[in-house]
Amino acid sequence: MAVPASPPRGAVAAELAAAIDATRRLPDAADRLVAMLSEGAPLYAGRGSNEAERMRGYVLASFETLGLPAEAVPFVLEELETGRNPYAVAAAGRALRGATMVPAEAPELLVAAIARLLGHDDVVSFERFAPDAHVGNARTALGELASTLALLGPRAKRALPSLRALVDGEGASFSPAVRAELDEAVRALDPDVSTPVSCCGRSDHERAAATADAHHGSAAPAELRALTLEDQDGRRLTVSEAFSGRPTALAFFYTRCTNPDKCSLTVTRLAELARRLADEELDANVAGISYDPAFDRPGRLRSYGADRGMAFSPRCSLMRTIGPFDPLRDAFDLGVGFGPVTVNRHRLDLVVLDASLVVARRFERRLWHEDEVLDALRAAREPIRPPRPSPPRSSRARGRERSSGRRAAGSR
Amino acid sequence: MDVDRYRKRYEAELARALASERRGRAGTRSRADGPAGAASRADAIRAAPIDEENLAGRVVELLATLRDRGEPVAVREAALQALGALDFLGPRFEPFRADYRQALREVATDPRRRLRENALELLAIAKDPFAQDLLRRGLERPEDALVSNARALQFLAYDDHAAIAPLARRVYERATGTAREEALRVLATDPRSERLFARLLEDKSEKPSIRRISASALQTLNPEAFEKAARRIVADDGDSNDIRATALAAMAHGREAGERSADPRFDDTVRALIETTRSTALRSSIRRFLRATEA
Repeated sequence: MAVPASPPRGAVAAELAAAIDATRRLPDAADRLVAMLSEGAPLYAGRGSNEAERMRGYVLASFETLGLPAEAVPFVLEELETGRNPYAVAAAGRALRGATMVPAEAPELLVAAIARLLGHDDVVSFERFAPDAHVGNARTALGELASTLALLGPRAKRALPSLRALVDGEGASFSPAVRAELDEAVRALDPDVSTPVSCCGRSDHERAAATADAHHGSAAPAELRALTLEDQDGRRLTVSEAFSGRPTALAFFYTRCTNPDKCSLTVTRLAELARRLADEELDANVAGISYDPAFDRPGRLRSYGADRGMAFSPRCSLMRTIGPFDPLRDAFDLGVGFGPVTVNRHRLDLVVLDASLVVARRFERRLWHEDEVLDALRAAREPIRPPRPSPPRSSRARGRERSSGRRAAGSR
Repeated sequence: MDVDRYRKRYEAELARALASERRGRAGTRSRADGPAGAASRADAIRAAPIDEENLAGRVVELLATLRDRGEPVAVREAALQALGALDFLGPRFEPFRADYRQALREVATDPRRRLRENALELLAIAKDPFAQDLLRRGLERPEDALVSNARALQFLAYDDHAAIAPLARRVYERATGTAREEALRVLATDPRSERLFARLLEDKSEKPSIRRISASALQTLNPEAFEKAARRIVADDGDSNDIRATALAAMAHGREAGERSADPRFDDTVRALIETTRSTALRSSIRRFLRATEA
């Protein structure tokens, strides 16, 4: 039987599940499934957020039995760090069970995910794709996460203090079944057994590099420089006019985002970043560009930014494209997918551009901190010389690359 | 710790608590009591105080009552209401949240229309994917519909990431009455529907309710386009005074405090209008508009 590399665009849930199940049986299943995690993968196009999240969760859970490849680790950690959908976060917990070596920060992120989902727990099942009202032997998302911690045992002992604090502080808010699993996890983490923790795992100071290790030296193409943007006050200017001549921290967001750890936090941190730049008298731009330009009109951008502390100025702005967002998505290889009306899922994306609009540093998928971006902006004051200018790729070529999924987003 | 053993011990404790509560209400749980008995049991459920000591037992009993299709619908509805009230306990209700949501999913396909509609609405408010699938299926295949098209659209609209705009557009094209209005409300956050709303807003042959929804939607999607259309409507003596009043009130509402008027000639038209119109609604909107403009 010929099995597609990914489910057909527009496929219904049953077809999706069948395609993912079939992919799991292929010899190169892990590679193919990692490719399906990219937000821009065609299988998510035109779907709602719930459906997109469920599909990602179903794919992620596959790594429990297939083994967790290194390329999938950033997706798992991202989900544990900022995910809000109980199914997808629980699936990330499941995926972690397939890791031969546990990423160093994963146990702490598991505990943080339990705390974050408290109040949103739900029955989850990875046996079949469609949601079911009559799940036998039902387990909940919190139970799955606690169970993963217990299974990791001493390998997760670094998270023991925060796990104990969570159980002591919030114990009464967990169901007896989840509480039992958490108690079990505390016991499992407790023994002072020395076990190697990490292969693909990184310590905290290494994490910064993990989020920011992608350096791009290629020059900004002419069409990107000429792309028209509109700021929160309705002023129109090209990318070149807006950002050339000084380094720029450019993040992406949209005002309809429902995840407080993503767009809302991004804009709040951009505001703080702009304040820090002013304090240090560092000449740089800070800007956010909306994924949802048709909805995020100037007035909406202005109030969204003001509510999050942005002091607008020529160096600090929120913007939208005039017309489609695709040119920016392609130019910066952003991790974002769209439903029929708005975004259905996106990763965190921030790029630091030098004065000539060359990407000097990228922060993607994981939470970034102002200090890291400030360092990158200071470093970007010296223009990057591209080692070898490459011709701009056609959008069709980029589309082929994205849909073939050979290059996992976030793995660069 | 043995998780299974812990769970069994907990379930046994719950069963004991449940039995104790049932004994405490001896004589009130007979299904043979008829409608009067059912009504008094429903009243008792609604009136029962929150017992912190035995919250788990209370929730387990309410969930069992809600799920039990053999119970009178009035009793099950009372159980659903009581659970909804307990939901407001916040952290104290958290241990039961997943069970509660799963029970709602079971009831979402119940033969009792009002009960399943209530369950579906509670799930839809929580953007529940199971409920969204059921509602979407009902809109696509009327034979599977669990609630009316209007209610389904209303429930799905709680989630503006639910990707139902294409479906709402189809319903809008084929439906009349409330379903058509609800379809437009769904489309009110879809930038691709801007031209549709601009057309409907200025179409005097449309029902006032449709034009009001269109005014609100267009103002959300494109305030500048709304402002232009609204000026034409307000200045048109041949248009409905109610719609002119709505348009003007929305213009006043969308104006920032102290914002200068972009069109002084229009302001003069509005000032002149207050002298001639007999419409109370329009006069009220004119006063509001002038206050906003002159503030």
